Amino acid sequence: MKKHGKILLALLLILGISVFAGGCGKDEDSSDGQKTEGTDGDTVTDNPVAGGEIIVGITQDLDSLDPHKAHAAGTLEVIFNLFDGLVKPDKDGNLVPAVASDVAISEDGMTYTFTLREGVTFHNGAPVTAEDVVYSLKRSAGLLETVDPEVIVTSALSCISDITASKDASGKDIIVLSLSSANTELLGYLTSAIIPKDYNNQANSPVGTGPFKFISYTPLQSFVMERYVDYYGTAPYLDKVTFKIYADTNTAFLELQGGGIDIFPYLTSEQAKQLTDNYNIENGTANLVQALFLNQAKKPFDDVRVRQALCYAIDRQQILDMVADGKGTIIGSNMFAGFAKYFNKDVVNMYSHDTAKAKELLADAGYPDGFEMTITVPSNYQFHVDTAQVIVEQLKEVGITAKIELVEWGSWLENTYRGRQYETTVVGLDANLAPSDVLKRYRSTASSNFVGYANDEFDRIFELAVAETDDAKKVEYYKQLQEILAQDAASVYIQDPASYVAVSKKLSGYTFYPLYVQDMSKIYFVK
Amino acid sequence: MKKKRRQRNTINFSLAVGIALVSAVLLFVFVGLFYTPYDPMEMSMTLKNKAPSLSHPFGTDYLGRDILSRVMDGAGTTFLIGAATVLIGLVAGTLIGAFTGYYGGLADEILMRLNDTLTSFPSILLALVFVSVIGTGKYNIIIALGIIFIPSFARVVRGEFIVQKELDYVRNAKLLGAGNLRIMFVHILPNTAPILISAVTIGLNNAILAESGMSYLSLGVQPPDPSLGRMLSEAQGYLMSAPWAAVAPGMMIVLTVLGFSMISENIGRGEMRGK
Amino acid sequence: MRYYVKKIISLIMVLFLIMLLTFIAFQVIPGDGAVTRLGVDATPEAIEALRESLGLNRSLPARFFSFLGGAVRGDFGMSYHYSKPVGELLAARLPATIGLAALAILLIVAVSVPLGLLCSRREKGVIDRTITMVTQTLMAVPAFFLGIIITLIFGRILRWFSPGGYVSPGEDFFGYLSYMLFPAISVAIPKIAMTVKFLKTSVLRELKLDYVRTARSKGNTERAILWGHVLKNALIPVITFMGMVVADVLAGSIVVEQVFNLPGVGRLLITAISNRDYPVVEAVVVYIASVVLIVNFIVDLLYQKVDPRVRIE
Repeated sequence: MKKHGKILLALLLILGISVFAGGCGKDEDSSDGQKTEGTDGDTVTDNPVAGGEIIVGITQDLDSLDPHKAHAAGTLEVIFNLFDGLVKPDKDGNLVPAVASDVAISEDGMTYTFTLREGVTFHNGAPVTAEDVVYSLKRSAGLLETVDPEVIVTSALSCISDITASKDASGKDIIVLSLSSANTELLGYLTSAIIPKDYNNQANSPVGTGPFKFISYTPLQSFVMERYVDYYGTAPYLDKVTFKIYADTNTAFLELQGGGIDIFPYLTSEQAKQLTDNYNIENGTANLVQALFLNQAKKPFDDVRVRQALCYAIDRQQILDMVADGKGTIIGSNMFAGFAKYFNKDVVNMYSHDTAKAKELLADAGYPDGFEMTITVPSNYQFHVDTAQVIVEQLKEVGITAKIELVEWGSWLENTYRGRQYETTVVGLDANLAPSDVLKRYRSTASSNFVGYANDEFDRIFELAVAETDDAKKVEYYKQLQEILAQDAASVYIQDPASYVAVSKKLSGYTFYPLYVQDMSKIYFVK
Repeated sequence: MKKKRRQRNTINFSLAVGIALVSAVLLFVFVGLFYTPYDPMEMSMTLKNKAPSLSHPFGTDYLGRDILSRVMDGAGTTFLIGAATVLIGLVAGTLIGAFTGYYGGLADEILMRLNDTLTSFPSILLALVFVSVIGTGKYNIIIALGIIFIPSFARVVRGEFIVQKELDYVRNAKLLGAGNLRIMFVHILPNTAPILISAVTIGLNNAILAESGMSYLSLGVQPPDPSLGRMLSEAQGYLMSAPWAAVAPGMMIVLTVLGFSMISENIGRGEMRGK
Repeated sequence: MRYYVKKIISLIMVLFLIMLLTFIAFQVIPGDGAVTRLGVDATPEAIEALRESLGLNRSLPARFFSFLGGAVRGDFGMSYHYSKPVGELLAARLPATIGLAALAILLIVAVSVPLGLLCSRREKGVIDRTITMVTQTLMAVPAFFLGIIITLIFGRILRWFSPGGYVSPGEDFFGYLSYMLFPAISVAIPKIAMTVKFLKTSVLRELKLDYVRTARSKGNTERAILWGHVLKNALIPVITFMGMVVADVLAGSIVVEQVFNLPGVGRLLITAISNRDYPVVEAVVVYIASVVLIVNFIVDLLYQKVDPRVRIE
């Protein structure tokens, strides 16, 4: 009898641990439920207080601090605060003058003329000269005499044939960009950072012209910056911002619940629901095109009927409901919803969920009993993995047996993206602030055309769109391009996912951009 | 006299509990091969993260799948991986450990150095290499983990053989003209049984944990197929809002490991008494 | 003397093997430093240029031997990803990993040796049963899960520590220790369970042997037998096992570092592998291998100290 007691005790101990953990989870849930509701509409009118220090949680380590060498989105969103380009984006996706005070684009789209803003200084105190600007632009366009191979040459800037500095009539510095072919969208790439000319330590101790000044960086730990007092624009409120690097969202989330982080940008919808009174949840779009990309070089995806059948078979609303609590914006082509000016709303519902039609198209294409396919998913994105799981279930209904294969990100880049060794893949693609950048991978000759899409009509209109100077016509062209992609079912476009940011209730001013950036210059403590 | 009887009863009792636990778990898995209450992959929008109820006794997960059905299905996968991995590690490890421990010399040196190499090689990198060479999936994971498990068995067996080969009974056997192979596998090996049984229990435990570790790193069983490890790592993000998703696979692991170690302890005793 | 020379030669042999293996592994897995660094937007030309500058386009033997040459001089080169010397990156990670390992090993020894002896003294007694149950249950919990549960209970509910925090020992030594304690407990718990089990089995087996009976018949007390004779012999398999544990813990408790967000060697390794940052991976692997080898060497020495039957030839 005694022995029974002991075993029971041990079992209870085990259970005790789980019940304990479970019990507290419950508590949190009920107390937070109502909190999230009230915070969605964020139009607080409050008094900004200058000063203060905050901690921002991030989950990706920085690759390089040199703005022309950094590639990772996780790096760019942080160093956005240190650097300004000739122009920079505002929250609506417009490009506003920054280091340049004025810009003029010639009628034919062949010449860009920038006027250098007066009184702009680098963080080291030196004034920004026209020489620095020419150097910076040449460096990111790959036009310097000695090319540093680590510098990521912005391929869109390859149409620049010459960059010169001179003075205009009133004695102001101007910088003239001459192009070899007409391009009216180059401005979107001229957000590239302006850096001092003869400074070789950008990678360790970056110097720019942005609202914040670099203090320190410890890999896998933190990145610290402080307010730059001589900033030419609106000065930031905060004195100091520390970006703390976490191993993953779950780790960061635990600390967030303990109140150790002031701002955390990558919440899942589930986590957003669970946060305590200390945080407001800000809602935005992630500016990604999430899709089930189909490799048209592989059978049966070379057949447009099969691709269309997949579009009909996949219920995008259900995906949103399953993986994101219904949040996110359904898309019908390769353009994010946040890019409202160019976003073609008419194609969103070109393929509404219809299994009968899907089956019919499959039968037409010679697959009345469906087929087997593999969905390759980068394993570090749980969101895409979950999306793929839902797709597998949905495809069962039209007789298609899909199998998921998780691959590590490095393998995805090499084998799936560059090597094009895949059948289908779920991933989210981002782009620069230019409509051509979002759509350029579908040109039949593009090296980034990893779905192997080819349509002469698309190529032709794309050329026209890039060169067009009339804005209305340009928008029309881009909408047409999206329609072509949708009609050809170039891939199964799913959504522009929702993005959730936890912001401490002590703070305000968090701003979403149609880009992947964390702008700290607008954050302030409320009274 | 009295004391002795009491002890015997407890042994039987703990053995009985161990056997009961393991058979219950095995029965559960066996039934899962033919019948699960729901389709373990079937998702439901309305059933996301539902707490345990009569229709779903273990609750549902974040995609609205029935956890009971997934545990039934997933436990089978996990046990298959665990058992096969340990078998590979045990057989190869015992052979390597026995030979190197008994003979010593150059072969011992070389094998042990290879062993060291494999031990200190990061298992994630090793797993990645396996995955890129043979691909992911249940059976490939077994091969990868099996190889990773060989060194620990080899090391334990070798240590035992080094000690045992100097003992009198081995000397006697040698004097009586027994061959080396006979001494190794007929005389010494049975005497390493208690340690080996411990090593197997720990190995089984580690294999189940390694499976969950591989799933955590997305190298293991591929979704939407369940395994206990994959279920645990998927439940991680919902620990606060849906703890039952972690409790069911977690309890399954704990009960299994407990059951096996209770049995192994008693068998271990029996062996020793027999000696 | 000859023994030590032999040991050193074999040590060098293993280090060489492991470097070769890592190098081959990097040829087998898809992706390289240039591809992962430049990501999706890169043009093939840009990748080619970066490959050239990182030296990835040289022949296989040329790459391996230039790396080997550097490593012999203690120079592991520059990280592909961070553009920093590898030595610097690794050195910055050591305090966290070493502190974690030292504290965890201290905990393991301090807790499991008394527990193991306690269990074996009264086999199947109340204490033995309870300890066995608890340790076996804890052994069955996956490391990442244990870490999360410890964080939840002690970090969030009881607030005994702030999860995800870390200060370097130079800055605030006691603060550093306090951040290390709970991760060390997470590392130690499963190992304690295993060590207790090992020690117990080993002691019980020794107790059944003839020499113990002889000692008993000579009128020695149980305590004297246990401490004077049994423990020494019983420790042999435990030492092998502890050697593995020490190496394991020192080599970086990858998952625990991940869960507690410690900037240790394990996390560096994970990040470097996914970045295909070959010089960093190679350096970490060499570090881990050296630790394992040195610990094994010490275990061998201890063997003969504890058990004179084991002779070193």
